[in-house]
Order: sequence, then structure tokens, then C-alpha cells
Amino acid sequence: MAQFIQWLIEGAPIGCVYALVAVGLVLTYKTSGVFNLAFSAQAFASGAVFYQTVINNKWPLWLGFVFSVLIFSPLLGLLLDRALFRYMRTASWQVKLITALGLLLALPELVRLFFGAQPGEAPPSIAPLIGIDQLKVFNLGGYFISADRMTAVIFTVIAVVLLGLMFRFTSVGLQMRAVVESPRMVELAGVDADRVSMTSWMLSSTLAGLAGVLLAPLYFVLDGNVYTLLIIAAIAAAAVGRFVSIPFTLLGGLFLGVGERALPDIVGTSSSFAQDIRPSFPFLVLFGLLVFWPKLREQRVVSDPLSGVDPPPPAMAHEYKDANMVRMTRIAFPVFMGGFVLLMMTVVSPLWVTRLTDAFALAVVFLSITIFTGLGGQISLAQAAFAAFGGFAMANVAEDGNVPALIALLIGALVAAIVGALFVLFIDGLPALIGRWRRRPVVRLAGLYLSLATLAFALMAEKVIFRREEISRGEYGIAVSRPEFAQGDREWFLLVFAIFAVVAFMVIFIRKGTVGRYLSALRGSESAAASIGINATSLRIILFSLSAGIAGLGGGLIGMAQGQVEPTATYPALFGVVWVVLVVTLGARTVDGAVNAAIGFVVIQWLFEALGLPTTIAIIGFGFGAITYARHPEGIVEFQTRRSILAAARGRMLKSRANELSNTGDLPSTYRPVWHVVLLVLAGPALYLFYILIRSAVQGHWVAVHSTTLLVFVVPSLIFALGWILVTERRLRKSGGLANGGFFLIGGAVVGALGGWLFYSQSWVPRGSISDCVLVGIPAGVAAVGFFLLPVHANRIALGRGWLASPISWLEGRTPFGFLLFGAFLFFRSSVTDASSATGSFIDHGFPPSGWPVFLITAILVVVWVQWVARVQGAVNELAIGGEGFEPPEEWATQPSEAIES
Amino acid sequence: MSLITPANAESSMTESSMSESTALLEVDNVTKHFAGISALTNVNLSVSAGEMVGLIGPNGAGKTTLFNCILGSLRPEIGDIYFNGTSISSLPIHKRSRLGIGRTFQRLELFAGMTVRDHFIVTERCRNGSGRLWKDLLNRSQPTTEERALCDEMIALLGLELEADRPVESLSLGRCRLVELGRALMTQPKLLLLDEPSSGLDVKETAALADKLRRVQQVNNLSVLLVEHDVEMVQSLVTQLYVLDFGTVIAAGEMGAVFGDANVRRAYLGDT
Repeated sequence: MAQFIQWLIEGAPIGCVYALVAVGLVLTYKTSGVFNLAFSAQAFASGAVFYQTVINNKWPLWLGFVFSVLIFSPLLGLLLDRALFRYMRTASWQVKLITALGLLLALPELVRLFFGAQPGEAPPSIAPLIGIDQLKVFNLGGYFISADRMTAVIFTVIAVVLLGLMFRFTSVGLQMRAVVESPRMVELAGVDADRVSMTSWMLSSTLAGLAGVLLAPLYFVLDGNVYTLLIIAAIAAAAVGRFVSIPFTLLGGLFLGVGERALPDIVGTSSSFAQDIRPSFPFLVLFGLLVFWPKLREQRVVSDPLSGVDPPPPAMAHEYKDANMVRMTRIAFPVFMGGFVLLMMTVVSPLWVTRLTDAFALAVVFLSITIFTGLGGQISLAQAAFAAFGGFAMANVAEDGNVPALIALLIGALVAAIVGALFVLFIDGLPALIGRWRRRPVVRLAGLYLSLATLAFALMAEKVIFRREEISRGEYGIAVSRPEFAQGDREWFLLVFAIFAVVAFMVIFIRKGTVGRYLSALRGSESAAASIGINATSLRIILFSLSAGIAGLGGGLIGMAQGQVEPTATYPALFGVVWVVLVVTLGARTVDGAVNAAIGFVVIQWLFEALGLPTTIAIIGFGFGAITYARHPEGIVEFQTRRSILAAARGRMLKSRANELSNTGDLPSTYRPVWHVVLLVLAGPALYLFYILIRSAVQGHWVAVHSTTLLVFVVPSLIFALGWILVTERRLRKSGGLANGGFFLIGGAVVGALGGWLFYSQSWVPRGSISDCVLVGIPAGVAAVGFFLLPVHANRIALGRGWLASPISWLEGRTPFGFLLFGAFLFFRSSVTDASSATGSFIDHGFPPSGWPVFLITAILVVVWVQWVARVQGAVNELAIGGEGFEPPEEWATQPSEAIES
Repeated sequence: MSLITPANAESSMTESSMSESTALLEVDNVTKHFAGISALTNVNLSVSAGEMVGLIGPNGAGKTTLFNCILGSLRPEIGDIYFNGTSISSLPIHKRSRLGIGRTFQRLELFAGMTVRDHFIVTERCRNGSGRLWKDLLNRSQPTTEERALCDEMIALLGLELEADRPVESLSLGRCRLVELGRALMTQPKLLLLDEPSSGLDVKETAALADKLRRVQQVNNLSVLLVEHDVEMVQSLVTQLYVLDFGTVIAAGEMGAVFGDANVRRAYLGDT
């Protein structure tokens, strides 16, 4: 008993912090349906703000506390709700989970960006706030407790009592419960569901902020990693309360805190098992609850009963292709691929070959996500762990040198597949056996709960399994070498690419084949799938082991590429989260999505490195990029592909109508074929690239970019484009666009001139005179306004004519505008970094490889720019020859609107 | 291999004529409790081959529970369920389906995102069991001409030609019910369980559905167990009728006789 009281007193303070975050988790999950894994990140942010204000800015303690916990934290919650989760209340669980995961990744990096990457030493204690001396030690009947721990308990009790009072005596408490059931229903009943969820976000965010401030002194350090573990403990605590009950969640938090404290005393500290099990206690509790507590998985994931009225998702992009396009793809795709491989084997610089090879090795892992999420409809956060199983198995087998490397790779994949199958047997089979014994069928672990189980498994694997000597040979891991025949970088590329191609075709064939159809049926309705005889259990085993096997294969490739598999550095569990977020954002259903995600992951990080920016910005970008997932659950790549296919179909239809009109002589003079404009806009950059290539080929090395020749080639095209913008703007304005469009253009010119002057006066432009800067600034400002103004004009005219579908929207201007800003930023950057770095004034440096980041960005800029011009000209043409009797055909509208009544 | 005259139709006919006494489906003394409330108490029910049997009862009478027990999503505490003379009580749902029990759902359970044709193809693939992972990996699992033909036949039978290649989300409720019926029929069942197929349909749609059902049933010599609220539809279709109330069978037998029963009128039709 005495022992127990000691555990209680020593474990309770940490348990209180867990409980605070867990209660916030339950609160938002109940009211907005979002399982906000980012609360730990919010706690970290609040802790960092507190640290910054009190220690670095020397604010008084109470002011720092009020600012970080009572102002900053609720505002952060408010921001997240207003800007983000408000729009997701009726979204699927995948969308909410991915968005929260994106935040979990992005927020801590953002905090580190602002407050420095180093953990804060000696974080301030808030004990003095309630009149306790920080160094005082309390004596509770022979048990001792420090001031910080006492404070944590006291603050938690205060928070819980306040929370209880609020639920008991305010109407918001009642409304919060109602919003859980169905926000739309509650709104029909006259409750402002928006406000309720806003309140709960602010409230739970404040709790997380309080937890963040309380936690740091308990660990004597302010470190982001501590907070990542905090979220798992909080989830486990919330699981004790079945994600719905706040009192049980509080108890769960206490239980975890006390259990963590008690475990070493119970199992001892001598055996290796005991040392392994201690840090993984929260994972074990979470995993155990999810697997062995049928009530938890039986309860339905919060979803909206009225969600059936949403329009169905669009079909896959390639289904919109007409026969012509299909034929073209069939020819173009092999040619493109053959050309790509040929270039990679010959002229592409070795640096690029290495990076792209890494990308394709990673793409193999990403294909496992395509299988699991794209086909299976579930989200696994353990793909990095499965990759690690494959990698370590491969390394162990190949270590002695007796087994050929390729065979070792396959063995690695096999081991990972077996681990995947065992994982299913554990989470499904074991409960099913228990269920059979109790004569009660068991629901399969799916959805959010499956994702949480995989997360717990991944972290457990990282913290316990891969640290074991028998598997990873200690801290530095195992050295691995590539196959004999692929020692050279280009041969290695060929091997990786071939493996990737085989796996990619496997994935495509599976999607089209029986298993893909069965999985699609299972995703649609599990009970109906069973009713036609589909064996969900064996399908799950196939799904998990296939996905894990492919991840293991990719893990082996990554290990070979790096020459080393290390327990923590090669496959960090958190990478598994980044990967899923990235793949799902770009498109989990297609191979394209996986390839884009992999190349993006590798190249963007490299790009930031080369530009001298912290690579964490990339992670922040990936995290926030996940927000787009809510709008495009099919993925950005898929969305863009569909859009361009539809645009092509639309363009062709327009062209045939123009031909008809010109045959009868009715073609209006304002009609101008898109390619005329595009050709002239593209001519400068294209000719210049051509010129560089020829000269480099003649001289035998990459020639430097000289600003004079560059300007000679590019300026005529730019002048034409500017003239085109002005002429088109005027014409659109006259025919019913925004009446005062001209003022906007003049405003843009003025702002541009001011910007040019700013660049000059701050000497951000090396060797530029004031007239140079202003002369560049004015057209840039005009173009920046034009990017939005032209589509707005066209849109207005179409609406004025009563068209149902507008040919274009102002959103079209976002991408070129963004690139304009980025270009300006690069200029700024190139002057402030030292000239020796890769970025230093790129105009004086050579072409690729040294100036490649700028080259890459310029190339993308040209593509974006031309695309915008083409879209606008297309819209203008549509306005010119459309009108009466020219309604857009049915397939232009995104989808049939009839919905299932359920 | 035609749906209209399936290979098993004749054999099951001869089978049933050989042994008149053995029913296709036999629910034997089934009892099921939920947390102290008895949802079913000693329920007996049988469906013979080629027979259409109705199951009616007020809301909460235990119809859906009985359905779920037959289909396997619930396991009865006491009693047994026999199909073709063998006990199926311990089989999982998908195995019961493969034995020849097809079903539709009261609340639509379609495969979201798939077209009508996809629904039928996937069902046929599952029935003939020719799907293999290695065939997928070698891109050898595209629908065969035979599968396509069967699927087209079902589409024609149900009159779904216009909607065949549209995703099911874009169909109206009545059409969706037909798709569910078609999907159940594609499993070539010996016994079809229909859970309130007319719920949510208007009078015309209900009549059309009943018409299709009758045709399919006669041609294929199906056994049907129909749970239905719409008395007219029940009267127009079934020969045998069971009435469930508070988890017990309060009347069973020929339809006319059952509707005349005083208990039934009191419990179900509201007469006093």
C-alpha cells in the first residue's frame, strides 16, 4: 500500500498533464469530429511561447502565463477552427486525420523556426504564481513531492472543476453534446453548431496550452520530442474513456502517469525486457486497449448521418479521356519513359541521378501506401516501420556476403510481408478468437482506430524492436552494399527504376484485377461484401502483407542507397507519418501520385538545402499541404490531371466549333487560336534554352548564363505577353467586365515601381541601377494584377450572360502570382547569402548543375506562366464564340448531382 | 450457364420432390437475448425449395434480429439454423453466402464509387471463385466474356441498361434497390432474403419491384424469405406467412388463414 501511494504521488503529476491533453482531445473529437493529434504540438507551441516571453524577454511570470495559456492558446485553437476544421466538419475521417497529422508535423517545426531548434534548458516554473516557492518540497505524511509537481496537480484540479461547472451549468455544454451526433441536424434544430465547435476548440486548446506550460518543468527541458510522446499517452488516456467519457479519460491519464512510474519497480530494471518495456508503456496501453477491448472498436467512428447527401466523388481522371487521348497516351508514355531512362543513363549529371534514384527507391515505399490507402481505404502510419523490417532483414541476411544482394532484398520484402500478416492476425484474429469463445462476432479494427493502432505499433517498433542488438547491431546499424553489377550510380539507377516499374505495374494490375475489385467493394460496404461471399479476413491479410512487403522492398532499396541501415536515422517512425500525409495529399489512388510524392519529397528538400533555407520548411510545407486534401480527397496530382484532361477536351470542342464558324464565315475577329498566343509567349525562353544547349554542346561544357543574351532572347516575348495582357484586359473590360479594371492595373504598376525602388534602395539587386529596378518592377506589378484581373473579367462577362458554368475563375491567378512572389524572394535571397553558396547571384554562376535550383524554378515558372496564358486565351475565345446556344456539354459539370437518399 | 435457367434449378427441384419433408432453410428453436431483453424466443421457421415465405411483424418484433441470425452477423444463444439439412450456425457470413443464401438490405448497402456493371461483375467473380492474386499480378483478371454475358443478362433482366455504367451514387433509390436485388441474384442463390425491399419506394415502384421479383422467382425456382411492411406487396407475392411479435411467432401458415387470425389482427393490423 505504501508503495502504491508513493507511485501515485510521484506519477500523478505527469498523469495530470496527460489527462489535460486527453480531455481536450475528447472534447474536440466529440464536438467537431476531429481527432486532433496536433494537440501535443499546440502544447509545445504554448510551452515555447511561455519560455520565450519569460526567459528571453524577461516578462513577469504571470504575464507570460496569461499570454501563453489564456491568450495565445485559445487564439491558436480559434485559428485552427476558423481557418481549417470548420470546413471539415462533414468531411470523412480520413480527411480529418490527415489534416491533423499535417499539423502535428508542421506546428513543431514552425515553433522551432521561430524560437530556435535547441531545446530550452531550465524552463520556468509556474509554482510561484499560486504562492508556492519553487524550491519547496511538500511532505505528505512521509511522501515527498516537489513544488512543480504539486503545481501541476493543483492546476489540473482547478481546470477540471471549471470544466465541470461549465458543462453542468451552461447551455454550451449541452449543445456540445448535440453537435457530436450530427452538426447538420443540430443546425436544423436552430443551434449554431459553428459557435459550439469554436468554443470547444478554444477550450481544448487552452487545456493543451496549460499542459504545455506544466509539462516542461517536470522534464526540466522544453523539447519537441517530449511532446510527441505526450500525444500517444493522451490518446491512450482518451481510449480508457472510449474517446467519449471525460471522467474516465481523466482516470486514464492518471493511470498512465502512475503506471509509467510503477512499471520499473514491478518488472525491475535488470533484464533487457524490462528496459525495453518501460518507454513503450503508453504505446502498449493504447495498442492493448484497441485490440482487446471490443467495446472500443464497436463504437462507431463519429460520422455524419446526413453525409449521404454529398455528391459522389469524381471518377478517376483517366476515365475522362476520349479515344483520341487514350491512343496518344499509349504512344507518348513509352516514348517519354524510354527517353527519361536514356537521359538518366547518359547526360544527366551524377548528382541528379543519385537524387532521383533515391526518389524512386522511396517511390517503392510510397506504392505500399497506394495499396493500403488507395485500394484498402485505410490509413497506416506504420509504413516506415514495415520498411524498416524489410531493411533490417535485408541487411542481416546480406551481412555475411553469402547471399546475393538481390535475394536479400526479396527476403527483406518477405519478412516485412510476414510481419504485416502477423499484425493482422494480432489485431483481427486474436479478438475474433476471443469473440468466438464469447459467442459474439467482433468488428474489425478499421478507420481511425486502425490508424491509431498502426501509429502505436510504429512507435513501439522504433523504440523497442529496432533498438535491439540482435536486429540492428547497435547504434550505428549495419553496413550494406549494392549488388555487384550495380555499383555504378547509373547501373544502380537502372536497377531501382526496374524494380519500381515492376512494382508499379503490379499495383496497377491489382487495382484493375480481382483483389482490387474486392477491396473496392469492401471499401463501399463491408456487410454487403460479406453478403456476396467476399472473405474480408483473407482480403485483409492480403492487403496488409502486400503493402508491408512492398514497403519492406522499398526499405531494402533505401538502405542500399544509403549504404547503411541505422535503428533511428534510416526509417524514423515520424517519417511514416510524413510519407502518408504527402502521398495522400498528392494522390493515393494512382502510381503518378506516389511518384510525384517521392520526387517531391527528395527534390524539394534538396532544393531548400541548395537555397540555403532550413529543410524543415519543406516539412512545414508538406504538413500544411495536407489541408488541400479536404478539397481534393482524390489527390492534387489526380485533380490536376483530371482538370487538364477536361480542359483539353473543352479546348478541342471549342476548336471544332471555331472551325464550323469559320467555314460559314461567322468567326468573330476577336477569336484567336490559343497556340498563336502560347507560341509567342513561349518563344523567348524556348529559343534561349535551345541556344544554351547548342552552345554547351559545341564547347563541351555547360556555358554560363549571361544576362545580356538572356535579355535579348526573353525580353521580346515578355513585352509581347505584357501587351497581350493589356489588350485583352481592355477588350474584356469594354465587353462587360469589371468597369474599373484599369485602376487596378495602374495600382499594380505603382506598387511594382515602389517594389523596384525598395529592392534598389536595400541593394537586394546586385549591380542594378534604379531605372533597371523600376523598369522591372512596373511590368511585374501590372502582371501580378493581371493574373487575377483577367479571369475576373471573363467570369463577370459569363455570369452577366447567364452562363451556368463560368469558363474561368480568379483562382487561376494564384499559381503565377505565387511564383512571382517566390521569384522576388529568390532575388532577395541571392543577395543576402554569400556569393560562394550555390545560390549566390545565380546570373554569374554556370547553368546546371551549380545554378540548378534557380533553373528548376525558372522552368516551372515558364510552364505555369504559359499555362495561365493558355487558360485565359481559351476563356476569351469561349466568350467570343460561345453565347447563345452554346451551353457547356454535360460532362463539364463535375458530376451528376442526383444523390442517394439514405 | 444462363441465369434464367440455372444449372442448379433442376437439381434442386428434383431434390425437393425427392424429399418433401426437408426444408431448404430450417430455423430451429432459436433464442437470442440482448442485455437481458429477449429479442427472439424459441422461434421456428422453415422455407422449402421454390417457396415464397413472408415474415411480418410490428417494428421491434425481432424480424431483423432473426434475419441477422440466419445470415450470420448475430449468433443465437440457443437453437440452430439448418440450410439444406446441415447446420450453418457456426459459419461466417461469407461462407453462408457461398452456400447459396443471397440477401438485400433494408438500408442500402451498395459499393460506393462502383458502377452497376462493376457490382455484378465483382459478384460473379466471387461466385465462380476464379480470382487469384497471381492472376492479378500478371494482369490476367479482366472480366471474361462469360462473366460479361452473365452481367449483361442480369442488367437486361432488371431493365438497368441505361444506368449500367453510371456510379451507383447517381441512381435513384428505386434503381438502387434493383441493383441490390441484381447483386443478390448474381450470387445464384438457392434462398433469397429480402429485407423490406419496398421501403422508401412509391406505389408504382413497389409494384414494378414485386413484378420483377415474381418473374425472377418463377424462372429460377428460388426460395424467398421476405420481410416486408407493405401488406399489399406481401399479399401479392407470398404463399406462406409468419407473424412475429415480441420475439415469438404468433401465427404461421397459409397466407389467407394467417390474415384471418385474431391474434395477428390485434398485434399487427391494429384491430381490437
